[in-house]
Amino acid sequence: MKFESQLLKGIAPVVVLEILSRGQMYGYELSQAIEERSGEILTLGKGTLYPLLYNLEAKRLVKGKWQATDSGRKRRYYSITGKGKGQLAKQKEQLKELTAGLNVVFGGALTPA
Amino acid sequence: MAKKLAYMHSENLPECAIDFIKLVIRQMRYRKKVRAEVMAELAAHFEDELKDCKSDEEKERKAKELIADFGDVKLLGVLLRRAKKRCRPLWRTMVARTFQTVGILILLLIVYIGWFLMGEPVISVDYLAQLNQMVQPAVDESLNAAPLYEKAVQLYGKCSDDFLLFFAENYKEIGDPLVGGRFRREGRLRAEELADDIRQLLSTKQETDLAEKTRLQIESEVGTTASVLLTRRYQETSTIERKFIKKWIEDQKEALDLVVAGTQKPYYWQKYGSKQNTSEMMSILLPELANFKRLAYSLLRRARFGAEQGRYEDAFSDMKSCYRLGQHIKGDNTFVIEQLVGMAIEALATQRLRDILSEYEIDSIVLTKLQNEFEQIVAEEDFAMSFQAERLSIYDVIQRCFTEDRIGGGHLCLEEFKRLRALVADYDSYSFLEEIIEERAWTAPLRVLFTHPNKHETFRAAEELYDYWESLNLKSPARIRTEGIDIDKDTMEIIEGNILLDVFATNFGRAIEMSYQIKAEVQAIVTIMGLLRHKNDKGFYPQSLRELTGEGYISELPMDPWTDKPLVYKKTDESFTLYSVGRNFEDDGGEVVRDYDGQPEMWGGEGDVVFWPVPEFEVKR
Repeated sequence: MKFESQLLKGIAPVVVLEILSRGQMYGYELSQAIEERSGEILTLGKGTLYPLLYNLEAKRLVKGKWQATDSGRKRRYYSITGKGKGQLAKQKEQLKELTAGLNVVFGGALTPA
Repeated sequence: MAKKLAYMHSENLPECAIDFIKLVIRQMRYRKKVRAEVMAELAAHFEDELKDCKSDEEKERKAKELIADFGDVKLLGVLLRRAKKRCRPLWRTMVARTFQTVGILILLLIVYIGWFLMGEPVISVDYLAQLNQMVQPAVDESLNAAPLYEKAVQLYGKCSDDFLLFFAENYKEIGDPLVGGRFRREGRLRAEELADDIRQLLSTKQETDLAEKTRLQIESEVGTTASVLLTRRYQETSTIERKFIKKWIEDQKEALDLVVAGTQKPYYWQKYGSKQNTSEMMSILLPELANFKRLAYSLLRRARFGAEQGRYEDAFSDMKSCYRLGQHIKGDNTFVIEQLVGMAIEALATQRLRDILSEYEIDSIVLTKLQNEFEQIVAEEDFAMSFQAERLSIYDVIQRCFTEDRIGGGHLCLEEFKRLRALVADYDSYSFLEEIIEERAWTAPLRVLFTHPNKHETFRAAEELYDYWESLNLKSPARIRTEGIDIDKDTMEIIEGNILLDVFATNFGRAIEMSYQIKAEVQAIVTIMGLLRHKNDKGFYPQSLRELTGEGYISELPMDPWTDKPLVYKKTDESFTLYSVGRNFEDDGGEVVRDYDGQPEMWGGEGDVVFWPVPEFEVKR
């Protein structure tokens, strides 16, 4: 589904951090994981993915490292840092409160059936 | 980077993917290493996306879809660069910012230098007109002695045939023209040639232009010999030389009579003008000061000859005229150089007067008349220096060397500064100024740019400097010493860092001293006349100078500027001693200071300045 870009803008970093919190991944892997684990609801454009990863790296929320894959090819793996975990926890908490608030506004319409 | 490119090709990525990645990397415009990493990452992503494609067409299609998903190349490049820049370590960011800051500063410096080099001075005040207004009294031109002096200068130097012939016949006994030391031989040879030229000129009696030119040349050279002899002490001249000088003075009668007539005028002023007829003060043409001095020497020698022949009244008349000439040249608000020449002439007159009073017995009637007339001449004289002309000059230099006022207050124009500096004689440079003027160091103008005071500040400093000289003018050397005034230190503090003032502003400490010297000379000669009269009248000299004032021989005690007390007077068995303690401020008992050649020094030495008895000169021939 194509969402309004402003709507996605705020949650893309927390989604990436959440997925990386479960294990390190390289760019392609990460974009596939976002689709799969969101039930193909969320997709992150490739033009957004890499700039996002570099920005998270600049903020020290993730760190990147070149490693050999199982097939022997080299990929840049990204893993969440301690700071990233803290930031993730904080943003998840905020999202929960946001969801609860929106549910009240929309009369429970946001809660999945 | 080449390796990464080769890698992309080796993984069989479609051309469109390779081209896309290359475009994105080019758009990034960042460090090579970072771009190589991003290129590898993007290539790996394409590789992963396309790994399950079974054919080249499928690869191509999927690659194009992926390219579309990546979005605009330019935007992607920008986003990647921004993100990667945020990744760089703090030290790298600081280095980059430092370079940017330095770059901006260099740009500003270039703009500032451009601004500095542009802009021209604007001449808004005619200081030359102000000066002329200042020196000219509100009286009729007929009361001005200047035209008479100018005529005298034009006539001075004309020689009769008789005089030239005398030189040609006696040149061997006459002192060499313009000589001393190693030029003696050349001077002697030239004198011989001159004698031949004279004989030829007088024998042919031609009236051609060439003959006229030759005559002028001869008169000039013979006249130089006369001028040199005139400056020597009378005792140092031989009988032939005295005859030579006597003939010379006879030939100059018309010029000297014009000078005497000029000294009868109540005023002397001249209209200052410049060579190029501009209002530029530095180009002002000063009057013929050197010729005035020659006229003065001639008058004094004429006085000496008069005294020799017992014509004391004529002798004293010439001496008074000489003193008056000095007074005129000093003038009111003239340039310091004119005042110094005027004072030098006055000093010559008083010194030669002392010589005559010392050598000849003058009766009381003549002495009294002389003293009264001399006192009348000096009665209204202001011995203090004036720096008004120099003040206006420096103001004019400032307005010609600084740009018009603008943000920053007007800055120094090096080109104008160099031009005006070339007009200043007797310039004493130091290395920093040499760098500025001679452009030996390109950094020197930069130092001027950032450290030199602006126009307002320079004006203020100039005002402060000349106010300082005016205040110092009123203090005798004794008072300056008592107050612990350090003139060099004070003036350096005022002009510190200002190269314009350092070049163009003069230290007037010595000039101010000289004005006090001449005052002491004048008071001394009046006192001497009073003492001689006392002796003539009563047969003895008084015990103290107070007796002279008490009995009306002098109206006031002569003051010593080096003690601020009266000159030292000591009665001796047959005569008296009258002296100033001099520039060392110490009373050496009236001992005459002598130079290396044993000749008495007056004010130039460090010791007592003895007015009486007149120190003897050792005749050297």
